[in-house]
Amino acid sequence: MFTRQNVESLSAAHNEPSWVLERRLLAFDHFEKLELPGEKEEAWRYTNLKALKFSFEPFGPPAPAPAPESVPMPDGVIFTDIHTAMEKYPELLKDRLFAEVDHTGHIFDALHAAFFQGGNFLYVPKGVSIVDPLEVTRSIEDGGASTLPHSVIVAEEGAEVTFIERYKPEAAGLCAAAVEVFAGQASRVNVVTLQDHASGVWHFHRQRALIERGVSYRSFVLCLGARFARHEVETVINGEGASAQMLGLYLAGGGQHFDFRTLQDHVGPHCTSDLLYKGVLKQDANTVYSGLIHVRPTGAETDAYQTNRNLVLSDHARADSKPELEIENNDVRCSHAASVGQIDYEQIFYLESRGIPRDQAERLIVDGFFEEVAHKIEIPAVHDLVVRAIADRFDR
Amino acid sequence: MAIEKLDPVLTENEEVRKLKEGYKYGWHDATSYGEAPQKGLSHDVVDMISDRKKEPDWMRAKRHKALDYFYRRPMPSWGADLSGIDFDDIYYYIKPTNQVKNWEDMPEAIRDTWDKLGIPEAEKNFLGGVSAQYESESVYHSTKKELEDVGVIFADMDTALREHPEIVKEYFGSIIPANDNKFAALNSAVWSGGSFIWVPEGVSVEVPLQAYFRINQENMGQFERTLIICEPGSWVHYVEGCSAPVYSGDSLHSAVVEIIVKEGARCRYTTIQNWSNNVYNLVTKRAVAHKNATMEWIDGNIGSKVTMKYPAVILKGEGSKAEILSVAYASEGMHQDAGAKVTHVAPNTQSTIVSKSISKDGGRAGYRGLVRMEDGATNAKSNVRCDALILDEQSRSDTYPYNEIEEQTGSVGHEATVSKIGDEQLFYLMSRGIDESEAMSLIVRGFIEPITKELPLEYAVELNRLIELQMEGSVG
Repeated sequence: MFTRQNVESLSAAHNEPSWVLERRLLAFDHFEKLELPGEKEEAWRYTNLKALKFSFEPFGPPAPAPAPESVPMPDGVIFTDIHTAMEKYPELLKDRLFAEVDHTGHIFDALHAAFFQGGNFLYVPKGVSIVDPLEVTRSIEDGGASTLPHSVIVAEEGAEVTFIERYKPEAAGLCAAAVEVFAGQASRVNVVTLQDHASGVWHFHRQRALIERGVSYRSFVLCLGARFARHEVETVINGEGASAQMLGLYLAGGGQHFDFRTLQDHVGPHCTSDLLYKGVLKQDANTVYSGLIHVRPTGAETDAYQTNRNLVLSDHARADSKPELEIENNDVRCSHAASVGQIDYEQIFYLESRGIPRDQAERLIVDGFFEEVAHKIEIPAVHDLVVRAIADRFDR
Repeated sequence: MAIEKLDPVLTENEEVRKLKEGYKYGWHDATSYGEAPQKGLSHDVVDMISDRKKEPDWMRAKRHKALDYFYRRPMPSWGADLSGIDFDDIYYYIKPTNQVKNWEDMPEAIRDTWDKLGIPEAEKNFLGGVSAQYESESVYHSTKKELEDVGVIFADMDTALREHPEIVKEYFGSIIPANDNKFAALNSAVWSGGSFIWVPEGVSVEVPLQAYFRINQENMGQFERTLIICEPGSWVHYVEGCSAPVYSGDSLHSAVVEIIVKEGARCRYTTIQNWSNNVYNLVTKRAVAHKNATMEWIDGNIGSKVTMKYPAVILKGEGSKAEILSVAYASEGMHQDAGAKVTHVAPNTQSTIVSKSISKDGGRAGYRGLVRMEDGATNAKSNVRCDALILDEQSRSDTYPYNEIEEQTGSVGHEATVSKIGDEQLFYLMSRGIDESEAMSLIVRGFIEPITKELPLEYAVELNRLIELQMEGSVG
């Protein structure tokens, strides 16, 4: 169970420095005061968590050691698990851990900050490029267990890196994950999340990036698994001339509820952000998209776009979409669009008239619908992985 | 601090003077109300209103129940800042004078106001009926004889309750129940005045019916209640306008408007809201459209301190349609939280929402809207378009659209853009010899054109003029 005593023994088991335990306990105090968010709260308006019981074991199996030490890394690159980093690189980690995602949000933030275990620390020094994506795999291996990985990614000035986090289908349980990204001046950072949990999982995911001057940042989220998945993806576009691309794909089937919440927070001037989330709904799936473009008074000459498109394949599905704008500077170009609809019958008719059977025609149209996002990933290996994972789910 | 040493009366005048800039309806009459009105809200106030109006018991009971709902409900935690409303510092009912059928019979001070607003003139020229509400009561009411002859009922709500109690009882609160929201509850408890329109089957009212709402007293609460029933195949266009004097003490306008559009009927409801910058305008408006009926809201919000208003249509009958056009203009000290709501219940229903908002001099204008398609609203279609123009660096625009889709065959599209006035557009106009202020004004007029073109000519001219007035001096 999630008790104070368990916070302490978890921290002791990892030989954590005292500053980590202090943060955990602070988070735990907060956790104890909070309740599950209800539909009356705007941020959870379309999501019902009543079926969630906090009876998970906080000590799931320790996260598999993710750092592939055997892969040769350029000098100065650190890629290790978060607990090792606390011990070996406190000067790099201490000011960043929980700087972007802390315990003060909703109950799952507090839970995560108190009980996090596993996750990675990735540090790429100034001017270093890592060409091949760095991939870690996570899963819940024992039914009823929990996994709460916390990762911190740092790219110094001019660095380049792609980080892929994969959640594979194993057992049912609770997953509350967080990823903090610090992209220094003119760095190029890709963060890819491929979430393909088993069907009994409750998945809460927070990813927040702070991007500085001239950064090119891309986040991509693929959401296929879990009975319930909440992905909160936030980008603070802090430095001048930075650009952020935020991509999302989801395929929701029977009994699944997905809830996406995005933020494009424009602080710096001359920045661009472009968000595209597309999803397909089958059977009695429920999906929620709510996103905000916030242009601060300092965000002059911002170009910000936000699009959410939903394709509904079943009469029992429900899609809610809430794209929002809060614009506090007048020198901007901002737009958003949202749509929910079914497959265009004329497209089916066209394909059928060319001799393609109806189910295949439908499939082609769905593939095309996803491809608009998938091709923007620009990393062939990841693109193929995504297309395959969607195909597997679709045929299930 | 220099300000604190100033005579408080002087600072107040300064504040009022500032508020009055660019607002030409800011005068007030020195009207005496016979007995001194009382501020504050209680069950006794509800009884007083009901006694004065000699209402049937069922209405009195409704009012008391509504007041309990009002007390129970919390203030909304979303939208605009309402913390400046002091419910104890408001007059809930003021009867200025008895209703008259001729402008000449009205006390001179009040008649003067209507002349200045141009209401008698408009009535002569192009209206089918006029209701003029001053504080809590309709002080003038008339309907063209031709309309009465074909059975159209156009009355103020209090008269309708006396003369057509069976219709009022059937529909009152049927679309917006007293407990719908805090301000609907308040209105249901202390409502007074407003319009009642009943259009018989197959009758088209070819000229608009108009109501004008005027607040004169400082710290006034105006709570009119409007009910429009369009019988099958009928058509009516109802227009309302409003204004108030400029004071430093805030007033509250909280109306409830319920509309029933029956099979094949069409109703258009046009509002040009031009309250002074010390009025909280918190209004609930909702229509139900039956089979093949059409409901149109044209909602222009140019004035007020705070407006929270989201005209709604429930598309209950197959093939019904909703069209909502909204203009919001916010300048200094104003927050326009405008929008629209459409719920698609029946198959083959369609809705279109077009919203244009403009913010300037630190004003905040926005769109908050809902498109909901319930399971069973097969082949429903909705299209929402929101454009915002921000004229300077201090101002702000917000867009909060909610799309809730439970129906597979439903389709909804939402698009929004936010921008400033294009330098190229300005440059083009100025290179043609148009000065900057006039060029900006032209661009803004072009921006809201999709809405002004839907207004009767007189109102289109008025809306353009109001915007122009507000734009004056916008370039340094």
